[in-house]
Amino acid sequence: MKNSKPLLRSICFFIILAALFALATPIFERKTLDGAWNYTDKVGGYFNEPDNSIDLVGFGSSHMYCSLNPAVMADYGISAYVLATQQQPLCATYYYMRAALKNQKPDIFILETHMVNRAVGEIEDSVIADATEPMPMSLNKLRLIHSLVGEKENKLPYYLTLFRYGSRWDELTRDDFTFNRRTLQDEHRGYVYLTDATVTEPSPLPETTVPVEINARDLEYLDRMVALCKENNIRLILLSAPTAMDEESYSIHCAVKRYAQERGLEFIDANEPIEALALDYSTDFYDPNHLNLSGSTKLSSYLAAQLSAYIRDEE
Amino acid sequence: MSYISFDFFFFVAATVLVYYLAPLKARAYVLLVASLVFYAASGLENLAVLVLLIAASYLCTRLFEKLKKGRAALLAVYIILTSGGLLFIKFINYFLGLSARFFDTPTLTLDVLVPLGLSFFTLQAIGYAVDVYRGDVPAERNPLKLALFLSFFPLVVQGPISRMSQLSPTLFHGNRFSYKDLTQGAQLMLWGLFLKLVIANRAAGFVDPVFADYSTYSGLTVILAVLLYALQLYADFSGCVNICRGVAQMLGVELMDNFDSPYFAVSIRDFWRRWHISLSAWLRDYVYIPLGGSRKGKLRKYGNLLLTFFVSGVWHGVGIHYVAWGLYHGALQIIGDITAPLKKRLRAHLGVREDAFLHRLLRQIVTFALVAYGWLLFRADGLIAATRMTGSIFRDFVNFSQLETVFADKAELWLLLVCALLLLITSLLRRRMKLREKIAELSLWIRWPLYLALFFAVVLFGGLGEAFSDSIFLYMQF
Repeated sequence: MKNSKPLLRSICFFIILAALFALATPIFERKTLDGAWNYTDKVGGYFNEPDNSIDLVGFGSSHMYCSLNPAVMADYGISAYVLATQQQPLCATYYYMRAALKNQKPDIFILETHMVNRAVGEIEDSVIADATEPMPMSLNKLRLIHSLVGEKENKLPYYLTLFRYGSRWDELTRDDFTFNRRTLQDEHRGYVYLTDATVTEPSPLPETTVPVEINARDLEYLDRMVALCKENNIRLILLSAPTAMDEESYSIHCAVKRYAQERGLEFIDANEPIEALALDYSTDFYDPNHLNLSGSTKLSSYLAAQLSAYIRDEE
Repeated sequence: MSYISFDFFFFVAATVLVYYLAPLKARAYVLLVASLVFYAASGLENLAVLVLLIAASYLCTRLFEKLKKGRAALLAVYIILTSGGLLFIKFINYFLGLSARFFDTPTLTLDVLVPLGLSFFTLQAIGYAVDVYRGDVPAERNPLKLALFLSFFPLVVQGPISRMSQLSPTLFHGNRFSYKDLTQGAQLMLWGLFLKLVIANRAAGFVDPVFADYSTYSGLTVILAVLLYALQLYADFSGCVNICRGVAQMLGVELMDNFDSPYFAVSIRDFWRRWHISLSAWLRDYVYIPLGGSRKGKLRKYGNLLLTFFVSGVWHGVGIHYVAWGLYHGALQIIGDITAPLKKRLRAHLGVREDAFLHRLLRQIVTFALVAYGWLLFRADGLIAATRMTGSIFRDFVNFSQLETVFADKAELWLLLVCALLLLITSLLRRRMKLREKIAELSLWIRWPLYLALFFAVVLFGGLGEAFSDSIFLYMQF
């Protein structure tokens, strides 16, 4: 007993240290609670929605959260939510899909495919922070972090974020101390509400392209998404939201289209002229790559009209 | 692998675990493998240089035992090759640059390998060879033990520059597990991290802009930057030393403390007994005394002092301002020696006891001011910059606009001052007691909050997340 006393003391000490660490982490962690890009509310709010209340979830990057407006979908009787963050790599989107099934049984997942072949090499810290921090802690979140920090020299601060955000000590506000994940809510349900318009020239799609293949890592995660949806009886739709494309972008776009065809997946190409969509390039774009409120209303209405019957049948 | 990295912390934890699980007789070899793995992480080519030095040291010192004649010549060859190699690596590109400027030709740069800690382990190797030559220590017959002595990972990068006689009692024989060593070693590591990350890195934030753009600043701003650099350098270097000593203590190995409250020194001579003690001792034993020390008359003594400090300056860095800094300290010691009788007569005339508190305080302040000015020479971006900064101190003394620019972040400044005060208090306490032992005797209800506070101070104020992979020790470039 005497010999084990130091060991027991050490264990007690580390338990206290770990507890204090766990208590301090949510206080110091960065939160985005204000403004159009309030990811903490947007992503965190999903997990506070009533169980089994969501029919459709949109995934991807900014190209998704600027394109799909759940408020418009609601007019068609579809309960939708957008789980997307800026420049979100495909590997992260897979874990987002897994997380989306925690308390919900959606009928449809829509994956915006702009990020295919884009997140190569070391991923920017801001992208990792926005994708990981709003997520509640779980084994899935640890796997999400692991998928994003492969190229990083010091990985531990991405798991134990107190090491990263301890430096916020002089920025702490009352909100940091009263922060409670269980009260997070986003009135726009993950959609980023942007009303500004930039007059955009419709860029004709390049006539010739150099064929590219989807890189091995993204291909692996796409296949995993397909398998996940199949396993959970979820209809997976790939979407290419309206955006300016150069030759490289278009090559990737075509590669995704081929992938969808080969696997019998639905692919909605909103970059091809769709009469029903009737996009106005002078009023519907926030910038050449993203729709604004007006443009996303049109796209969301178009999608909702296509899908509402399916969702009613599933119910 | 930087001493300030999670990789290093995991490496230490793994090494400690394997060390104490291994049989007693095998523990030294665990340390050797760990040391070689640690050094190999900086590059196999660097490891090759270290192994080459170990092989040369082994061969040379074993030959000392066998040779009856030619021992001095062998030692000379060894010192020339090792120190010559060090000087070549450090200075070749500097002299190529100088030559190009002088002859107005394009600058040629050689892609020279600069192994981590080269300056430190080279001096340690030379010191060992000289000790064996003199008969102070026998030549180590086991090449693996010599390899461990020269490559031991807590000291290979930044010292302390150790002697075989200092390390062999605890390094080679395998140490039994001691809960006290493990916990106190971890605490010392934590204290080192606090000094380095919370104090040194924070001070650098105020110091670097002034030295980088020195022509913009003057007067009090420059003085404050120099004082903060004095704090930064001490916290940085002693922080690293404490991390290394802490790691070594966790393994039951005792490393000397390289600092003894240096800014409380009462003279420049006293300062060099307290600052980078292992280097000072090395210079004394292997440069100053072999030159004749103080045994050949005053003039020779002063010449030897200047030469020794010249060597110190050259060792510290590439650039004439390092030499100037070294010679500055040498000159101060000479002046101190020359004026000692005068000061003694003055004290006697004024009835001031040498150990009187105010007299001692005055000497400490004057010494600190002289040392701090030396740090201006040391830190400046060259001799011209140092000269201009010196001149700028005397103009536009109080410029609030400059002070506001440099010290704009009040929260950071207050935090730094509070931490500096904590450092001062602990330094004062250490002069009166064995502080770590005293803390260990305190009640758990006091000890644990202290340790937790220190841990969270490092986590919250240490900038670990952002600056973590960039954390470089100031002395690692030497």
